[in-house]
Amino acid sequence: MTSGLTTYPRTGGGGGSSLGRINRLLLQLTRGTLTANEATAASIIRSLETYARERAEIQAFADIVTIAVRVRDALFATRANGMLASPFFVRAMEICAEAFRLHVPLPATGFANRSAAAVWAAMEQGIAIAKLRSLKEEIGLIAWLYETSALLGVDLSTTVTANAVDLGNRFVESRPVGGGRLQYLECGSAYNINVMVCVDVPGSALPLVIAGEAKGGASGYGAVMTPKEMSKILFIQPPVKQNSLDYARTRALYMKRELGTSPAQRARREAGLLIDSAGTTETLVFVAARGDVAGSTQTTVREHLECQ
Amino acid sequence: MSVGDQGVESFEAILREIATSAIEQYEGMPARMDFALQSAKTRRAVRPILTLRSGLVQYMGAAYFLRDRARFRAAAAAFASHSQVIAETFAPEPFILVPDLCLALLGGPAKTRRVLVQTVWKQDSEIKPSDYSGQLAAILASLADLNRETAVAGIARLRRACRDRQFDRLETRYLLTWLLAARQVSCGAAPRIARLMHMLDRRNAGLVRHELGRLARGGSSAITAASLLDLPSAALGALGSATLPSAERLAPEPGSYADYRWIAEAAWG
Repeated sequence: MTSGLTTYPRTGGGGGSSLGRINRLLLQLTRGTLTANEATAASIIRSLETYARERAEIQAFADIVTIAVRVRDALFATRANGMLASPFFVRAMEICAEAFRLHVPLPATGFANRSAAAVWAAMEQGIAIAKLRSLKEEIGLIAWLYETSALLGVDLSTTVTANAVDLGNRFVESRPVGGGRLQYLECGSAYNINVMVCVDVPGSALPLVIAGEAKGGASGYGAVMTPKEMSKILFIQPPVKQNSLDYARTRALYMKRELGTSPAQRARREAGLLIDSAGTTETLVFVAARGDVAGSTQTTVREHLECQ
Repeated sequence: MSVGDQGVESFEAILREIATSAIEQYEGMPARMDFALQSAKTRRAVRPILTLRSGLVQYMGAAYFLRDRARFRAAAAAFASHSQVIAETFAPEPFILVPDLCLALLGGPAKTRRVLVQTVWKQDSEIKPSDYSGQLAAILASLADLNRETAVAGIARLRRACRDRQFDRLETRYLLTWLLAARQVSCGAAPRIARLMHMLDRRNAGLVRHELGRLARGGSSAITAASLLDLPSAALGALGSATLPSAERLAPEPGSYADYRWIAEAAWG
């Protein structure tokens, strides 16, 4: 009997066999035990890598994004539902991001105009330092949104930031049409995470929460000394670096304790609860990204990606 | 001053809100412990357990504040279900084992207690001066083991850290009181333990009031329901009270942050 996955015939770059294998393994995932699923998930990722290589050869990047998103959803949901131990879904997100960058470069997203406006304004002669700083922050935020779009395989300018509302005090939120749970928040002031996106994943009872730090220009990542009480809760020792998932968790503890009732304060509390809860159920992802002016355009770099 | 009275009332309301929202947020946590434990074994990493525990300590603090026996028991059982395994399998740093060690000292199984004490002991020399939870764990482990010499050394080490200003003002005041109580316990007779426990409650109340004051002034605070339960003091209180003849043992005050009798009864009774 010829068994074993490697004996399948190759289909000459069409990717047929690896896709078939992915589909079969995804089905297997729904029936497996925790230990069995660990091996299955590892195979799925290997097959996804093969598939991505095959499709990249014929520039079919959109296909890679589609399949990577499907794989991510399945791996995330299986884990959130308690049937998979390791965060394989993040590898699917990385594969997705690679293809997305080639498929939809920044100028092809809805962030293009925002980016161009910020870059042109920043190039103005004799610009005030304070203004340049805030433009660099905007460029950093655009970089974060683009890099996170790539990881999610969705142009976020067409989804969560499309109906964003400025709440004042540099808080910007977005919710589904007709209201409901927060899906996006930018925070301006101290004791907050910079930016957060919360997305529903099909088949998962828990949402995927991405919290992050956006950096503009050459500004560095700092470290915070957390109160001693925090090591008692998060089981970490200070200092906590700003480009780490633990940093997001420390900020969430401040954010969820917000007592105010203004829209910005309510959004702050809700985001804190979302990040904090995700932090205890291993459904939190941290992304740090940087953007800077380069010629007449801007760069975007994903500098840190961390999951639990 | 009437403002003060109002303040106390609203502080109480905020604490209640902190506790009830923690219960709501983490209601499913104790039930997820099995998954976290399996997950940690599969990944050969302690992190999945620690991740879940951060919700669990807040849930336990909230259940304690509300004196919700059933929920407290569920939280304590979730700790007890994995205390020994993480100590044996992962030997995490002492500060991580503080809740486990304290619950074990408050009437938990003797075997778990021995394993935890050993795990803390093996790493004693690596505890940093700035790590106060780790130092508390080391002192409690010594006291549990009736090892007076190492207990005295641990107390001296933490006192030195306090003197070297490793901690802020309110933390330092709390710690110095805790060390007074620990020294009494280490002597094998702690006639003043009830009074010291009362002082520890005042120190805890001071720490909590400070954070609530920040919130009331519109500032940011990271206070959580975990701050409403002081397990290291409770463990110390239990050890101290055990040094006295039963007629001389005083019940902790209602509203205490470290009611060792209630905890032992709710967790293991």
